[in-house]
Amino acid sequence: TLRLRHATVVTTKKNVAASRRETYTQDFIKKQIEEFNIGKRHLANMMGEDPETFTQEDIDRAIAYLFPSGLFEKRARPVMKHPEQIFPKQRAIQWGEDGRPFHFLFYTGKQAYYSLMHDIYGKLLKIEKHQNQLQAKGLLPEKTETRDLIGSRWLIKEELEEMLVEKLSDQDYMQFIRLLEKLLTLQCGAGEEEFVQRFRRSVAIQSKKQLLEPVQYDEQGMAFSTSEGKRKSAKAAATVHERGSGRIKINGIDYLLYFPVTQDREQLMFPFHFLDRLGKHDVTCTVSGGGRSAQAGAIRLAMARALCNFVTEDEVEWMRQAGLLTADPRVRERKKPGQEGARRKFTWKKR
Amino acid sequence: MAAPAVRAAGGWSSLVLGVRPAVLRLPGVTQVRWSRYGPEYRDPKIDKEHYRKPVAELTEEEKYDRELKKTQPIKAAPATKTSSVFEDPVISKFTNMMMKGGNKVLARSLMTQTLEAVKRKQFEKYHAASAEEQATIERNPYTIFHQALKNCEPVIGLVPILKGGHFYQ
Repeated sequence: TLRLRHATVVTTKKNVAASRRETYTQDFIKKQIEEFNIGKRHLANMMGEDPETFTQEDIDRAIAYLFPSGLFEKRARPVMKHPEQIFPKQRAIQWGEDGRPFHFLFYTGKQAYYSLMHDIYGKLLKIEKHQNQLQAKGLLPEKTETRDLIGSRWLIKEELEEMLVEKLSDQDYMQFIRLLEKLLTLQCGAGEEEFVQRFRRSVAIQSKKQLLEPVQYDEQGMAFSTSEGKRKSAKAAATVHERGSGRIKINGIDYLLYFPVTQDREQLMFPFHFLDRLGKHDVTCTVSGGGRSAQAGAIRLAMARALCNFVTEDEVEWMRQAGLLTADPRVRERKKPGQEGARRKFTWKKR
Repeated sequence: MAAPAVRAAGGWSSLVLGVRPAVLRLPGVTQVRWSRYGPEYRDPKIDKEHYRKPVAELTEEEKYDRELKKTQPIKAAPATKTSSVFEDPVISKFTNMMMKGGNKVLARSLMTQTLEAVKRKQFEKYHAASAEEQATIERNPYTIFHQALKNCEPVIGLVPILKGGHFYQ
C-alpha cells in the first residue's frame, strides 16, 4: 500500500551578501571618523566636561553610565571607539586602471611581508659591506653595545599581521624574527636601531606589580599588616605583627594543634625561613574552606603578602621568584561525560 | 605516565608540556595537554643562597638572567617544596612514588620511620664497634639512602639496533 507522505520543502536563500567580506571605502571611513569626533564633543557636553580634553577612558565611562548593560560578554556591550579600532584595516586597491599592480612584489601574494624582508636583507648586506670595509682598513670599533634587550620583546605574529594587513604563516614569522636577530648581532647605526625598535614592544616593567596594603598601627604602637590568600577554595586572612616571638594562631587554635601534619607546618614556616625571620613575627589568621593542604597554602600566601610590608624591595622580588607571592591557579578539573573522571577513561573493551 | 599528546603536522615532534592550546610554540604542532598557567610562566627557584649572593660576585650572564627574570611571571611554589634545610628532593620524589591513592601522610610517615630505623641500626653498630670502625660507619640516613639509589642504577643500557631485519640489543 502506498501512503501519501506530505513533506514540506523549505527553501533557504543563502545570504550571499553577508558572506562576502565587506569592503569599506576610504570616504566611508573618513565620514565615520568625523562623526565619531563630533559625537565625542556632544558626549563631553552632555557629561558636563571639557570637549578638548576628553580621552578614550572618559568616553568608556560615559557610555557605561548612559547605557548600562547587564550582559556578561564584555564585547557585546555598547562601545564607542575610534573607527580605526572598530573597522578592520583594509588595503586599498593595489592595481591601477590598466590592471597593472603598483608594487613590484604584488604577484608573490604577500607583498608587504616580502618587501619588508627585502628591506631588512638589504640593510643587512649594507652593514656587512660597511663592516668588511672597516675591517679591511683595520678601523673595526670595539664592541661597546649594551642594548636593553630585556625591557622589550619582539612583535608577536598577530601584531605583525595587524601591522602588515596580511596573513602570515608561522614559518614566515620565524624567518622574519631570525633576520631581525641577525641584524641585531651586527653593529648598526642609529637609523637601523630605530628601524629595529619599530618591531619591538616594551614588556611590562618587572612583573612585581604587587598590591601593597598599607601598614596599620594598633595600640602600643606595634605595626601589623593584614592580607588575604587563597588556594583551591580555601580562603585565608592573615595578620602579621612586626615584633613577636613566632607564635602562629589559626582560628584561635595553635598551629601545632591545627596542622598535625609536618608538611603543612613546613609550608607555614616557608616564608619566614626564606627571609630568615623565623622567630620575629607573630601571626594571627583565619581560614575557611578547602582541605588541609589547601588551607596551609592559602595561609602561606596570605603571610607572604603581609610580610611584603616589612621587607625590602629586593627581598620582595626574591620572594616572587621563589613562587611565594603567586596565587596557585590550579583547581579541581571537572569530570567529563563519557569518562570516569577528569582524565580517566572507562575500561576499553574490544567487543 | 601518559605521554603528552602532540600532533606533528609538519614533521616536528617534541615534548612540549604545560602549554595552553591557544599559543602555538612550534609551527605545525598542536598541543593537547594544557595547564592553568600560561606559557610565559617560569618555574620558581627556591634557593636562599642563590638570592643572597652579593651583586659583585655575579657574572655577566647571571646579571642578565636576573634582569630577565624580573620581567617574567613565575608560577607558585608547590606544596611539597620548602626552603627548609631538612628537605631533600630525592626523598620527596621517593615519597611521592611510594604514595598510593594520594595518601601522602602515610607515605611520608613510612619514609620517616624507615630513615629512623636505618639511623637506629647504624647507631647500634656504632656503639658496638671499635674505635677504627667507628670512623667508617656512616650514620646519616640520607647519605645511606643516596648511596643505595646510586648502587641500584643500571650500569649498561641496551639499545635496539636493526640489522638484517632483526632487532639486536
